[in-house]
Amino acid sequence: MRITRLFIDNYKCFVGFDFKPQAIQPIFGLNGTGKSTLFDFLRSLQAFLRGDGPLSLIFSPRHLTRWEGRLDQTLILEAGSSKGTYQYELKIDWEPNLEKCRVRSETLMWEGRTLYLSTQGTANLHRDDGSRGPQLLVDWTRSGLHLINPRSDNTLLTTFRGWVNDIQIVKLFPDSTTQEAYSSQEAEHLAEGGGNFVDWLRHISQVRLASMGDLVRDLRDSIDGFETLALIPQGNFKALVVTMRQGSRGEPINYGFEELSDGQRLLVALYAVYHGLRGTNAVLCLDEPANYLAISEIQPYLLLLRDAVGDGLAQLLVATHNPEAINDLAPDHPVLFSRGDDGAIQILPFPETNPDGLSAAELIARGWEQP
Amino acid sequence: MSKDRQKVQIVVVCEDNAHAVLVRRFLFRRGYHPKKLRFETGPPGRGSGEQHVKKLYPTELASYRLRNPLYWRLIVVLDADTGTVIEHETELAAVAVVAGQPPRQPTEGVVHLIPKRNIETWVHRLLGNAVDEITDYKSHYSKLSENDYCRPAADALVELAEDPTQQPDLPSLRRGVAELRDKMTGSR
Repeated sequence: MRITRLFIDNYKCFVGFDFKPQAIQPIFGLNGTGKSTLFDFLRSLQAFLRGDGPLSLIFSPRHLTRWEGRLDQTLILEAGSSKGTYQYELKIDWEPNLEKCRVRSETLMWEGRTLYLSTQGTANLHRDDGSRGPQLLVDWTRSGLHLINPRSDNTLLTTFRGWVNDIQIVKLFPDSTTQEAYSSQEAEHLAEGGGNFVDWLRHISQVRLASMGDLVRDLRDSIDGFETLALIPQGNFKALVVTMRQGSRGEPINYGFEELSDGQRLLVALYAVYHGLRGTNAVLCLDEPANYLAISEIQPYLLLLRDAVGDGLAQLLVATHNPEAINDLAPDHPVLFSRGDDGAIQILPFPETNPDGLSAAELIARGWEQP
Repeated sequence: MSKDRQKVQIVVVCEDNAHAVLVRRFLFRRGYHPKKLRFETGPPGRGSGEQHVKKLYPTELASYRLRNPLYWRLIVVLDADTGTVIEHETELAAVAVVAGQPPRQPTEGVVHLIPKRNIETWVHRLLGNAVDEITDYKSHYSKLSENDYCRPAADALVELAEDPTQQPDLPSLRRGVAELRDKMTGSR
């Protein structure tokens, strides 16, 4: 299942923003055109649906579009597969002093019929077969969806909830990946920046053991001298240790993951993301995956990812400024995020015309990406 | 570990994403690691794909000749459209000569894949449909992503190329498969 539509109104730079991403969706645009904000929004929505906190902490007053001055937000996420389409809609009302906000309505629909509808603190549930289910009292400041226990008659609702939770939004920073070089526990999801990378890799090594062999094989082809990696117990922790060989006859030497270069750490993390998610049919959102990578590493990684979409990954959204990544992704029907005259983000096809056959990166570098 | 493991050996010059997906899947299925491949796909925008291939072809041909055997194969994909396969072969030879390069020699590892009418014709045939080389089958696939239709076609192409007893009935596909059988075997 993949994201088929996002409608975002009165959230940061998005006003009436209506986006229908493809299965492989490159996103280009200048700085400040909402590429990362889109992923921030998805992350916030995940947190809200997980019940991570009250609405006003997850969607803060800073998330309102400043120049709009309106106090209502509408957020819609549509997701589809060959089986059908979900529509999730969240309407938020803020108080004039911006100190509090509450859920005006929260709705989840499947193929046009309601599975969950919450208004004014009351939620009505409907079973998979369409029959009316129980009524619940819910907190006006939180999603009621995370409170629903999985049952045999509400699999549509719980499947959607699990699917949203499994959307993997990856924005890696080399220093973040070693923020916690020692793992104290497994983490099911990779945190923003990759701060829990070692915990997450530990989880992947448990639940997807076979993928670790593939990961090592790819890293041998990408990092000079790379031999293997392992999570080694050290007291109550596990340390990620990388074995490297200097030259073809050199003795293997163990290095702590934190001792690798910025680019090497990112390569390990990016290939781990690929192998960790391959086969899960998850949606993967990658924000600037080419940063810090050698130019020769960018296309091979993107080739693997794109080949996996529809064959192990459900969807790939990539935002990038990197010229090599832009040129490589350009044949995959990118969209261009751009500021309209009113400051709101608009979506343009990229490019509308290209009569002289300039490369995509060159068009953007020259500012000729828009007619 | 030899650094040769990290060097590109096969360059693919193609018009558009459908070409790239078909060849990418074919090469992946044949066991080529992405680090060994370099795709030079035409830039976005209508009408620029053929121009891109013919512009790049002489440079890549020269590079292949200078760097072979490291540069092991050059694969060129170009839709014949309303022209003929022979006309496009002749044009490729001509752009090479204009750039000071002799035309492709039979012994060279340069693969020309020239679907007629276009790649969707090959896809439609590889997916088991009856086709001719005049009809444009693009509209059959316009609502699908390239992964959706080119990947299964590439899987069929792999089986076809690996089975010498099968001879495609579509002339341009027969020619393309013969090139793949002849030039895409051996060490890599």
